[in-house]
Amino acid sequence: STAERVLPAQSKSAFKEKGILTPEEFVAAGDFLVHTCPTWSWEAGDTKKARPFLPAGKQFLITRNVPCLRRASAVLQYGEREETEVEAEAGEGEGWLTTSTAPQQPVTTTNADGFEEIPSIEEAGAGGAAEAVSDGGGGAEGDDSDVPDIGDLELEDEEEDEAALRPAARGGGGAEPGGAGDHILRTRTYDLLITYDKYYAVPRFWLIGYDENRQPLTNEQVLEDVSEEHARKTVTMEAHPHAGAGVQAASIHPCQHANVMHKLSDRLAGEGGEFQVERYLVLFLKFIASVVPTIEYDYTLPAGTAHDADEEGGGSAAR
Amino acid sequence: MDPFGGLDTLRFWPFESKVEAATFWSALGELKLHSLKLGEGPLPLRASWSPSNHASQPGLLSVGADSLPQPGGGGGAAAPAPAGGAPDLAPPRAAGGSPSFDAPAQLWVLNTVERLLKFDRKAAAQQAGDRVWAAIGSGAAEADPRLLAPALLLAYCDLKHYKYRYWWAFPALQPPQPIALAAPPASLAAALGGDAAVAAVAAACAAHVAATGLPAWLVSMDSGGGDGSSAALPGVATAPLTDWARVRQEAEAAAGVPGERQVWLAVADSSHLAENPGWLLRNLLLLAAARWGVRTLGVLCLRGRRGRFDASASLALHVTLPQVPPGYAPPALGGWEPNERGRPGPRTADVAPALDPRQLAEAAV
Repeated sequence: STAERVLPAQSKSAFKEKGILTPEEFVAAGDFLVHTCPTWSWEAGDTKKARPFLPAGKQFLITRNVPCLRRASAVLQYGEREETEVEAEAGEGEGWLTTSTAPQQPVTTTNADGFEEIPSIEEAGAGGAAEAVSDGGGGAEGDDSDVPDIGDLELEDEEEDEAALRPAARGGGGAEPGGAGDHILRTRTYDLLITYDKYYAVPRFWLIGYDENRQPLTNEQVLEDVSEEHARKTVTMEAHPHAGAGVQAASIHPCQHANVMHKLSDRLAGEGGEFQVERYLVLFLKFIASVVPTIEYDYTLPAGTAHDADEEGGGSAAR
Repeated sequence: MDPFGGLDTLRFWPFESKVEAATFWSALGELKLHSLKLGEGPLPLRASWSPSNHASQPGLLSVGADSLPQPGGGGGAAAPAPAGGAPDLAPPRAAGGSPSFDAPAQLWVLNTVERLLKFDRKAAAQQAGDRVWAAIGSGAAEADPRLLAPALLLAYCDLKHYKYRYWWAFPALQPPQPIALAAPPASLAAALGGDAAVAAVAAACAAHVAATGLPAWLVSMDSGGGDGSSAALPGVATAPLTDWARVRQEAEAAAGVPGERQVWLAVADSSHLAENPGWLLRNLLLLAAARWGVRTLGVLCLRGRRGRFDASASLALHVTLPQVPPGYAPPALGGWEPNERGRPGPRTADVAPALDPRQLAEAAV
């Protein structure tokens, strides 16, 4: 953000040519998003951190407590497997001949020089290793017992309160004796923020995750909710734009945003509609949905292509 | 579905807390270190809660960095808020879109874990409960129903290890006898009769909340027609709780005439469950019993989907209220939030991964 301090803010509108926004266009697009999609709202944040080129009350957009029912890896199992095949194929370029249907089978192969090669253990076990990794990720969420606790000391349960519906102690079945426990679904939730990145002159997307008990997720856990091809590449941990010094949060790095947004808006414009800059953030959220496929924020507005990704949210709302 | 057979105790879904991890805890750490020092409070805390906005999700009661009093404003440790004093509420925010409501919350920042565990939670809950009861008696709670949802937060900051122990309470007053359901909970469509009525009520409620920023209000409407086919929309009107006597009179004046008026108590509901309303309604129904003297009442629990009130997600209840004898002094329950394992006890927030410079340095490699 040194560059942010030194460089002037984008002042010339160029979203059609480059997919970037001026701060004024960001505010206009944010107003449109808040108006059409009231789960999003503007916030002022810490006044000490206010960016002078944005209005004081419109420093960033936020939507809170967005449920995330599944891990991205669970949704993208198929894609993941495909990716290993792609990697195996890429290996061919380096002289590996693999039977792409069963790449893990420990068959001997012939390299480019005609020598028979015995695949190394790592190579053969690649598929298994990937599974082990995702297993580990899944196991971590239920297992918080490594955090030492002052414990369930003999705190007398002083309150018999029949009018309060409490979920039963977790770990012991989880279902509420009254039966209502069946309806209580514990999910991860996210607070999502959109700030304006002055250097790249695009919106920037932040994820702050909470586990089933509303405890903060670690970076590793947040990455479980990012699609495989984006985790660790485009999602980075950065200083939180509106929190105290040293607070870190996951953010989708904005270096490709302008490029993608330019292409997407071109495509929309090509379909006949004039792409309005007010709809920039709506479109932006659709693009973000490909990065965080299981976080069910509201990206169902018509940005030109409306219907996708609607089924799930609509289904659960209708119950 | 619960096998509800006739009268059954109405059970409420407690608030669930959320602490905006990195922002709140780091700000609280700063406050404790530089301003509060050995002072323990209580400090006024600006917590806010929202109606349920998702089928699988209750509305949470949350605090962030801006919930804390600004350092310097109160003079730090030298001038903690007077222990008996009620925390002030900011004027209600009239806002379009998804509403959220402030809760009068108090924060104790205790110096040791032992003090956290030995804290006199009963006394603190009773104090908060007494304030609610006073607000009910004086009519202040009718004017500002946000006062009915007090919250207490005990916290211990392990600043060295970036670990925070904390314990929320949402005190509730106990009525002389339990509040009971007169009929199984129903959908708005079943209770109001027809989609047109439901749509009109939902729109009126949304407008009322947007205008007042308060979480409870009254809805009155003509129940005439009833066949749902009549084109005329029922005359739906909303009113603040303070108008109870007038609204009730109008309804009684119209009684007997075809198309009599129904009066409903409406509440923004933090619960997402099909049969249980959220915590706010609990103290609110005691208000209705004590202040209005009603024995039966229809309640609309309004919930949102996608940031707007959604009738299909909402709930209509018919409750039977106990008689509150004059001079009744309700005992208060703490409503202490259970810990991660569902047992009584404080929760732990370990924010070292987001705050500890050593861990950040390691993660940055």
